[in-house]
Amino acid sequence: MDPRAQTFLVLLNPHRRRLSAVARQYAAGPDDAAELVQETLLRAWRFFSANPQTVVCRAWLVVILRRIAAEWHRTAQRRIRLAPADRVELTEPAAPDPGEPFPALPAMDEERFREFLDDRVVAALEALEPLYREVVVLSVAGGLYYREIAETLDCPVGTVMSRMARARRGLRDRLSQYASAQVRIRGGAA
Amino acid sequence: MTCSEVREILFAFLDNELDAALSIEVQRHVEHCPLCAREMEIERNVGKRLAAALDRGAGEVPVVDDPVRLPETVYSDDSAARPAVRAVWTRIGFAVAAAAVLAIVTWFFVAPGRLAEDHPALARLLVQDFDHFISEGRPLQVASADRAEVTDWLRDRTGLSVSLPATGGRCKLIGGRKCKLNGRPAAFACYEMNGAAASLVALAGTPEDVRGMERVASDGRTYWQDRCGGHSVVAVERDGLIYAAVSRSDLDGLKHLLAELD
Repeated sequence: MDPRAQTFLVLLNPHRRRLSAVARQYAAGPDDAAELVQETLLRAWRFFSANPQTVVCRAWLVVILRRIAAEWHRTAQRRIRLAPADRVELTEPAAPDPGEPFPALPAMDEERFREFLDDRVVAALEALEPLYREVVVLSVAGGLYYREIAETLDCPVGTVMSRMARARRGLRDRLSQYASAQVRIRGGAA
Repeated sequence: MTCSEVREILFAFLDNELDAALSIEVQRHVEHCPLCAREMEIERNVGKRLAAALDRGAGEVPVVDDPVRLPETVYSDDSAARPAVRAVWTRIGFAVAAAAVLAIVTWFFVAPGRLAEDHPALARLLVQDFDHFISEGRPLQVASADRAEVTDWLRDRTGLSVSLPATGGRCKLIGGRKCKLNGRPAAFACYEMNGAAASLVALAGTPEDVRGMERVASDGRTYWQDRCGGHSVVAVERDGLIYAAVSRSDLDGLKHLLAELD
């Protein structure tokens, strides 16, 4: 293998899983996500092969991925689940809507409940405004620092912090009912 | 700090985004406020559940055997986007940088563990930072065994009057990077010590920052130490900077490293 390609892989490997997790949040489905990752890697490789001193870091890869997602969204090339927010947000939307109450849960064992809860967490995340959802995706799935998110979104760190707080409160409102249900299930099992 | 002030910055605290002083204040408040402690525990659990769900959603991670063979696609824009702050070019040969990163990937597989809440705040932050750096393979920004070169780089980039200890024997400098310890500028140097990874973080601070760590005297020097989450943490104060070394090896090796600051 080309030594330069080998170096690229060494630098890339620690970030592959995070990149896939982020892609799954932007892309509409698993196939689109795989395509999004592949195009990100190809674009990163093309830049790296021409500029071998580039430091391959997660924030850089996420910026490339996000740019491709924005291109897909703009040209309707592929369906996007999370449209990257515009650079300038003059006004912040209202706080996330906690949504309608979830129906009562059927009885289920711990393992099944955990899987169910994962699905509900993702659903609760998707119920958030894209503006809030994106900071959560970049932070939790992408593992970026607030400073890196601010650079990616071209906004102040304080904005990232406030969006994150609002997003997390929205998530908690949605999920609190399930936490209560979990307590009930655990209590019933004991 | 009041409850409402704590709630304002709760998420930044949980995301390890506050500076050390503010983090310690939050931690102190929570230790004496059961309502905020409960709130924090709930939010921490929501965060963990969210992280687990999104990680599970990553599904199968694509394998790349050879980037040269990635299918070519015509793009309208050939240049890749780069955040300005990340456009870091190492001043040393790229081969050395690659070798250092490879060394990190090889040596530094440490799974971050949950740290007991009863450890001193700074020790926990340092251990989290150590694990964060290692488990996620964040690249060094300067990769060199040359103490003067790494020291100059760290001074230049952090604005701190950092001095790195002399090394020898089975302790080898690998490189460094500029970092922030919860928002506070810090210089991060990376070592291989007796075959294990060790970090040395220097940040502007006072002995107040190491409050809660055990104070010990050795060879006429004063150290603060802690064993936290399977890690050894040893700190000293020199010229207005706190130097804190972390590794999974014994405390004495770190003290020997820090003794070389003199």
